[in-house]
This record gives sequence, structure tokens and C-alpha cells, in this order.
Amino acid sequence: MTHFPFSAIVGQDDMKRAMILTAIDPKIGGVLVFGDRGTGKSTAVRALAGLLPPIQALRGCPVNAETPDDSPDWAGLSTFFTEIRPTPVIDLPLGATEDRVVGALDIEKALTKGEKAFEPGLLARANRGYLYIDEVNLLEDHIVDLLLDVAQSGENVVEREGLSIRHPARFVLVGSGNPEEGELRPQLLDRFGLSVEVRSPRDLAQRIEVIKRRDAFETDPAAFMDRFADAEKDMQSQIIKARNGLSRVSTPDEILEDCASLCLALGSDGLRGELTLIRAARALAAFEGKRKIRRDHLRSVSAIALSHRLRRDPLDEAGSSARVARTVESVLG
Amino acid sequence: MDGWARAELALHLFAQNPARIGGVVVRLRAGPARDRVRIWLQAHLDTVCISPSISDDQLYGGIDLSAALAHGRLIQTQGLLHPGKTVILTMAERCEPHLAAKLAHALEQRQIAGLIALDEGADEDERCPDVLAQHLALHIAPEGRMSDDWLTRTSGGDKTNEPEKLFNKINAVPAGTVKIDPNHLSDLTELAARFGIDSLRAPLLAAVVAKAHAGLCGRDQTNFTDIETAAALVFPQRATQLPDRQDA
Repeated sequence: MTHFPFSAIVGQDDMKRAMILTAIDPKIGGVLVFGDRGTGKSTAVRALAGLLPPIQALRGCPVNAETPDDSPDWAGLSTFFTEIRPTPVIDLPLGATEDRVVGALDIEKALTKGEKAFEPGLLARANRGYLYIDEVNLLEDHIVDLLLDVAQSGENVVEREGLSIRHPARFVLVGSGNPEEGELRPQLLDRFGLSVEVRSPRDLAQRIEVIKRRDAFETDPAAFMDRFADAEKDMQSQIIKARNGLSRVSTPDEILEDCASLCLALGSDGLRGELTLIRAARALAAFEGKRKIRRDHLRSVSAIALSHRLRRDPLDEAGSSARVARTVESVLG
Repeated sequence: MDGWARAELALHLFAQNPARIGGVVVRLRAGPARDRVRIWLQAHLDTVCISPSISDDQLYGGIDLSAALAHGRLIQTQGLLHPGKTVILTMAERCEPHLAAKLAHALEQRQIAGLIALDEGADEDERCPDVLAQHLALHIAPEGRMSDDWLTRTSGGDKTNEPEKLFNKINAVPAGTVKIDPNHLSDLTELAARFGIDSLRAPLLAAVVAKAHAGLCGRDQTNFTDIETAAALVFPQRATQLPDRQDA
């Protein structure tokens, strides 16, 4: 199935920026997109796949390992040729069972050969890539528990049915959800580096453009993809360039101070907020081809990096993005 | 056009392009009318019926234990989701958001051909969950007395322009070949905004319905009637405000 091209998405600048930053630096830790229905959340996430630079992996390796050392023994690879494959973007559907997520005993082999073999699950396939959960707040609790642990440790440990298996599972978590379906557990919220609130464009002309593009895409996907092929390629090369430039971006001390005072003023829990803020600002600086993080970069990313890490203030009616904006205003001037 | 005629038209429009229209929410209490909808659907489409308590194994398929043990190799049962099948969800008002989201996902990924939600909700709050209903373009809730021959008239009736002749026209002009005028797209978007509908999925679905209506009428280009019909079928149940008459 072809996906709607990223560069054809109208408006939604915050969401697009968050996606681009996480593509530049996966260590930022993924994106949570929260918003009403029909705002193009899943369209944007699926479009992200088109932007990600391909990875080098061992042919036939179920965890997309780059070197023979990283490839687990149970994969049973006998030859080690590498190949270029697209960065995996794996869908975690709501109906997925625990077996399918973490992997389980390969029943076929158990029955036919009497062998105890491991059949890898979605977490194995998502290694070195992205794991996407649509309607993330409807995900069943026991699956969330599994994810929380693996997302933190970067390793999937399977101890069941007489199997004892571990394999790397480092992935970027991308989720989308609708606030109407209930809130997300704070522990899960914390695993997302960036969070964006989306709403459909207010401007009628923009809304009409969205509809026209979508209709054109659905009427003739191939022609539509052609129309945006150059823009997609440009965007991808810009991301690759930014990735390469990431390590050369310096972080002046006053920026570190700004980050700390911002997080203190907001009372965000732990140091993760500061780290994410700096990472995101650095990725943005790299994307703009700058060598140094500036206050403007901090300003642009503070809402998406911090708004989901605030403690709830019962005396403050304003939404969390508004609170971040207000604090940024007073701290950074 | 009364509610019953509109409902009949809606079902025919759905049959014209199930995949893109997504489906129909049929809000009717158990009774002859609901039975006729079911009979009509089963006669004209390849359907499979599910209830809100369906398990994931039934839905997606699972291991067929007895067959697998008997044959000594893995045999999976076929789940009920199938790209060629239109799912009829009975008691849709009892459907949990989890199942609704799974079905919505199946629709989006084209794992099923379309979905009809039979909603028997008694009061306003008891209804098919939004997470699913938003993907189903058409919502019908005819009220009052239905005519004796509603949805049972066979083709070959004498009233040539009435829906009873419509089924024969389905796919006369394939839905994919109908073009929509860009101005009509703008009209639908603007109209949706006037109804206070925030989601952009609504005008998109209305555009698909307009095209299906044009196809059903034997045209390969939409006209004003198609837009009007599509708006009347898609927008009212999603509206959060009444359009201001003065600037209408």
C-alpha cells in the first residue's frame, strides 16, 4: 500500500517538525501525536516511513542486526552478507497478542521437528526502527507493561514455554491517540521524547487544500507520488545531512543553563526533560545547518519536548502547551 | 426524499464503492425494517456477521489445535476478516472501543471490504462508538412508517428513477472513474465547516459519496445534485451546529 507523501501534508507544522527531529536523532525517543479524529495523525506517521534513510543489515536477520555479533544465536544465520533495507516501521495493532509482540515458541517447528525454536515477534522486527501504535490509549494494559520494560532496556527477554531467549529491541516508539478515549499512563507518556497536539487547520483555504490533495492521492496515487517525488527526496537528503551534522553541533553553556532553568521553572520531573530538550534543539540546529544551538531552537522545541512532562497543577486551568509557552516567555525572555 | 428513501439510497451508494465509503451505521430497532436491511445486504454483498463479544482468535484467526495435532503441522484457522467480505456488526451500540478501534484499523488497512454497523441503541448515549462510526460515511436512522415494499422491490419496477432500479446500475459507471469538480470539493469542505464538523474525514467521505452517486446515476462527472445528496447523507449526524441560514 502506498502511503501519502510527507511533503504533501498541509500545515501541521508542529507535528511535521517533531517527526523530522525524531528521524534526525532517533535517540530523542519518538513522538506521541494526540488529537481529535480526522486530523491526519496516522497519515503523518505512516508518511514518516518514506523519509527515513535506509539501514544496512545482515541478510535474513530477524532483528535487522548490522554485524554478526549483534545477530542472536537463535537466528541461526550461517552466512553474513549485508544488505540495504528500509528502516523498519512496524505497526503494533491493537489486537496483537503477547505472543505476537514479544515472540513465542515456533509451534510449526515444535510439531513437525520436535524442536524448541523461537519465532520472533514484532519487537524483533522493530529493532533499529520505529514501532507505531495507533490509538495508543486503547492498547491493553498487559501489552503496555511489556512495552514499557523493553522500550527502557532496549532488550527483549523471553522466558516462556521452556525458551530462554534475548535479543536487542531498540526502537523508537511512535504513538497516536485521541484524548477522548482516555488518558495515557504517565509511565508510558514518559517513554515518548516528544509530544504534539494536533487539530485540523482552522483556515478554510488550508482545509480545502487538504481535501484536494487527499482526493488527488486517492484517485491516482501514482501520479500524486510523482508530483511530490522531488520534494520527498529533498526532505530525505536534508535529514541525512542533518544526521551527519549532528555531532558537529555545539552546545554553549548558556543554553544548558537555559534548559535547566526552564525545566526548574516548569517543575518537570527528572532530568529526562532537559536531555530531550537539548537533543531536540540540537537536531533542529542540525536540520537548519547551524553549528551551535541557539535560544530560538530551544523556543521552537520546548513545547513538544516538555508539555507532556509537567505535573498537573490543579490551580492552573491553562493547557500544558500554554503553560510551557508562558514559562518559555518568562525564562528566555 | 424521506428517511426511508434516503436509507435505501445510502445502502445502494455503499454497494457502489464499499471500500472507499467504508460503511453504513444503520440505527434501527429490531423489527421488519432491520430484517430487510440484513436480507438485502446478504443478497447483494458477500457478508460475514459478527457480534461485539467476538474474540480476537475468531476475528484474526488462530491455531486450529485439533487439525494441527491431527496433521502434525501447523494449521491456522481463517479469521473472519477478509478483504472480500463486508462485515455486519450486530448490536453495534454494545461494541467496546477496543473492538471498534480494531475494526476501524481493519477498514483502513483494507482487511475488509466494508462494514455495516447495526445499531439498536435505545437512547442518545447508546450508540456505535465514534472511533468506528467516523470511518463509516453513511449514517441512516429512518423513522416512522416504512412503505410495504421498502427495500424489497425488485428491479424491473415501473418507476424508472426510483432506487429500486438502482441496484442494476451499480458499477455501470465504476466508482473509480468518476471525477469530482475541484469546486465541488471546496463546496463540501466549506459546508462541513458550516456544520461545525472539525474532522476533515467528513468532507473527504462526502466527496466519495458524491462520486458514488454520480456513478449510480450513470455520469462520470459530479454535478450539484450529487453534492447536495452527499452532504445530506454524510454531514447531519456529524454536525455540531446548524449552518447559519443567512450566509448559506
